[in-house]
Amino acid sequence: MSAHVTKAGFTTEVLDWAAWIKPVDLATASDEQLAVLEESGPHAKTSQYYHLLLHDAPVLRERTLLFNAIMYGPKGLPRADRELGATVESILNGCVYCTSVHARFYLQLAKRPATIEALFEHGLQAQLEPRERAIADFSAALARTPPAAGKAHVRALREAGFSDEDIADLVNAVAMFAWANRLMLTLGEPRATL
Amino acid sequence: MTDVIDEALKIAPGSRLDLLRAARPEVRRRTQSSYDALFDPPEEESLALGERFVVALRVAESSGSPGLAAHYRARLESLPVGAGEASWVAILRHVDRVTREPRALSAADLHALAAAGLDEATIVTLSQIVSFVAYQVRVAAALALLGEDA
Repeated sequence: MSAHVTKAGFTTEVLDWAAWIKPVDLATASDEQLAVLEESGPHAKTSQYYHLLLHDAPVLRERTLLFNAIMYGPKGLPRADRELGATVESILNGCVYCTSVHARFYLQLAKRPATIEALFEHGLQAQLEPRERAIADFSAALARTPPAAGKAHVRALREAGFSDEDIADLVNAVAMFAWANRLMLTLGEPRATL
Repeated sequence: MTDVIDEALKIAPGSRLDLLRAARPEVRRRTQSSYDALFDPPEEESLALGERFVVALRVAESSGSPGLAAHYRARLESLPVGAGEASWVAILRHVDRVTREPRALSAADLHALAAAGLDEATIVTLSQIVSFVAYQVRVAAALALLGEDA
């Protein structure tokens, strides 16, 4: 396990997340809610985030399937690049929790702590190699409201060697984190693990 | 099978964007099934369908997505007219903030929604709609961009 990076309010350490409103009480949850929790994976069992989203179980079920298809789908854009897009967007949106998880995944996959350290400290002004630069600029532009990605961003990605299928994979990851960041930022807040 | 992204972007079968989306069948399928879970819910326990379309329309409009805004407007207008129950001022203010500046929200904002009469399940569904449309407008915007300069 590589060393963690902590800088400018962001960290790759494992954080906890606490909901601002009452999550579903598992003792009184419906069969459907318990089935969806089971499908959501082992980490969901003890997560307030998942327990909260169980208030709308059918939507949580679809969201998890979509999330997994986008972030873990085979071939196409390397997983590290998907995590980099998610991380850049999470930093710019100020989602400390999302950043901690996905910067950590990026570190594990890409083994490039200097990139994470630079992004934590300087955001988009970070010094990046051309391939990372193209991913970061496109992800940041698509993350804005309204989305501001343009032809120049696509051209830069193509020049860095990405196919349109790769770019579509990055689009899906950034779009998914527009979703994930909003849930994480507006329904609760990160906490240090005990 | 209807696909809202294909419909909003007028993606023709066999076109370049159709093939690009076909490369990720599970993403395409789950994008639509997420939409279905939110906008054709098995049972309306929390937010009424009309309220869901108003919220989605608001997000699509403020995210600069005319194709998706037209879609949600058409679905809204297809519903029978009924009186809104919830506090629309409180809801739309919240929707706009989650859309534009999600980092600025705090526990007090959710407590304000609760004070306006929304229970936990309704707040979660509302948040999922806003966040899903934030996803959808980005997929649509980027596909339109990739379709422009083949």
